[in-house]
Amino acid sequence: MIDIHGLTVRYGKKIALNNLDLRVGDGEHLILMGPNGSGKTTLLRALLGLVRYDGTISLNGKSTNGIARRELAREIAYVPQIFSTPYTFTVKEFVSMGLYSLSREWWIEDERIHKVLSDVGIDELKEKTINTLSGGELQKAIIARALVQDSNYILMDEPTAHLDIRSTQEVLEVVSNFKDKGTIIVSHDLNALNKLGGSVLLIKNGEIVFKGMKDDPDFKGRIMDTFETRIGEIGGFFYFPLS
Amino acid sequence: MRFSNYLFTVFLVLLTVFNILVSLSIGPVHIPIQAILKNIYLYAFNKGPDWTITTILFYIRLPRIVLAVIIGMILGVSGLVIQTIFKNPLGDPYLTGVSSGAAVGAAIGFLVSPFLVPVLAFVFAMTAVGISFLISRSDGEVNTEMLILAGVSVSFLFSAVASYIIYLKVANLRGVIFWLLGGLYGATWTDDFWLFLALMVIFPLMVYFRRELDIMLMGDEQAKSLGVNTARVKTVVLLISSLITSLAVSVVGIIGFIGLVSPHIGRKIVGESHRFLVFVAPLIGANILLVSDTIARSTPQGEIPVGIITSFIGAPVLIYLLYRRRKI
Repeated sequence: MIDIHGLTVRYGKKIALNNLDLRVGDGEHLILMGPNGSGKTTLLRALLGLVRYDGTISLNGKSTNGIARRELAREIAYVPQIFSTPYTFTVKEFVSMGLYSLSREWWIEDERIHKVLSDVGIDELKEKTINTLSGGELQKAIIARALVQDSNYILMDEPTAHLDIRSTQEVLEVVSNFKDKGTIIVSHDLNALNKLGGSVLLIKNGEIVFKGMKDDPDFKGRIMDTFETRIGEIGGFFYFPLS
Repeated sequence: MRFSNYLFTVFLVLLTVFNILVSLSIGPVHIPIQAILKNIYLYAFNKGPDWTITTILFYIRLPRIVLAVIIGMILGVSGLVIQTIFKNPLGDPYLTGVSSGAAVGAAIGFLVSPFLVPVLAFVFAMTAVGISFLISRSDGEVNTEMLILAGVSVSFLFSAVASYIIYLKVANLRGVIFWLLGGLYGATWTDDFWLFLALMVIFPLMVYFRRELDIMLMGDEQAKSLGVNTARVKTVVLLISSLITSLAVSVVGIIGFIGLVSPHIGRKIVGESHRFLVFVAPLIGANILLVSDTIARSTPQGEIPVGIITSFIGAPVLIYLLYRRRKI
């Protein structure tokens, strides 16, 4: 269980997160939505101990402040926004980096890596170098790296951004199979909202404006208020209406 | 891929041994490699070696050759980790202000007493490094972007001071310039002993950290989220490499290009991963410096500063590598 209490993050004078309270249960799936600059990525960064914050974040009742990085990585894995890389690590070497929190050994031939690679559907890419992958392939490799960490929680920052239609489908398929992992996914993608179960967290200006299921009668109104736009819905599926 | 990497590492070790033998045979007195091997055999089994040859080899040539290998390894491994930590292909071991600091110390040393040159070079190199580090600390962590800029600024400042002292005060200009360009002419077994100890600090440490160094290539944020204590790795790696490089510079002067070019050559052959690179880069550095120093001490003009030779060899190699990369 992740317990966030009074979380405040400041960048200089700007307040990115304002006195936020949130609880994420074991195995709970949460889609985090909000306008650009609303504090979504900052919330993930705070959970990962990458920014200074006021307030408390505790993990199973224990504060994460001052916890060793390797210990934290065993609890929370991170799928950053897709990046481009000049480095020529093979997919296997890249994914094996996820094992670091478990052991400093190299373990490139470890069976966990092979299992995760086939779970994510990129087993045939294992000897390719990461600088030659397509966006969708790299995104899956990044997810695979987070999965071998074998953590209880996984945080994903816009896993379908910059992907084509098919890659988006494939990545969402992979993500929808995270059954027992607590998951927080930052996404602007209505497809993600439609495809993935779990509850939705809307934040705006560093504050939570909604937390609940997407079939909550309030939800559609709240999401339109939050983004200041119209969103259509047919039978629980959300879409951008043509004007 | 992995097997060929092992093979290449072994090849480099053999190449180093071969270059040591070649270098031993070259000098004012030419001693053929067979004669060297025979003399080693006679010496080892107490069968009356040629003492003239033994003296030349053991007291004159070998200390210098060993020093070239050790310094080459130190510069190669420091250059590698500096390039990794800064994620900058132009990184070299002098980046944090080592060389210009050492230059100030050496200039003052030449002014006061030549015996003080190594000590002052070391003290001022560490001073420059210390200032760069102080400027670039933020949030209890070394900010590498700041450190590059701080290192460059501090280097300019110390270079200006060194130039001022050398231009206005130092009588032995040739001596200073020779020192600034680097040379192994003063090598003794004592130097070898101390620098070997230094190598035995930095080399195992970087071998230990090679897993972290690999992951840190992916950037600080990812490295942290994967569990790497980046603040600790950076601080330890940068401080130790600056300290050991300063020590090397204080003994042999500022030998350029080896720290820059050795990791690049290594990467072309064994790839990015530090798993092999941490062995390959220093061995390449050792071979470049050994060959360069052998040339430097046997030119028709007599001894010339080895830094000239390393740049003559290193620059075209680097240009070739860049050219190859452009074509891909």
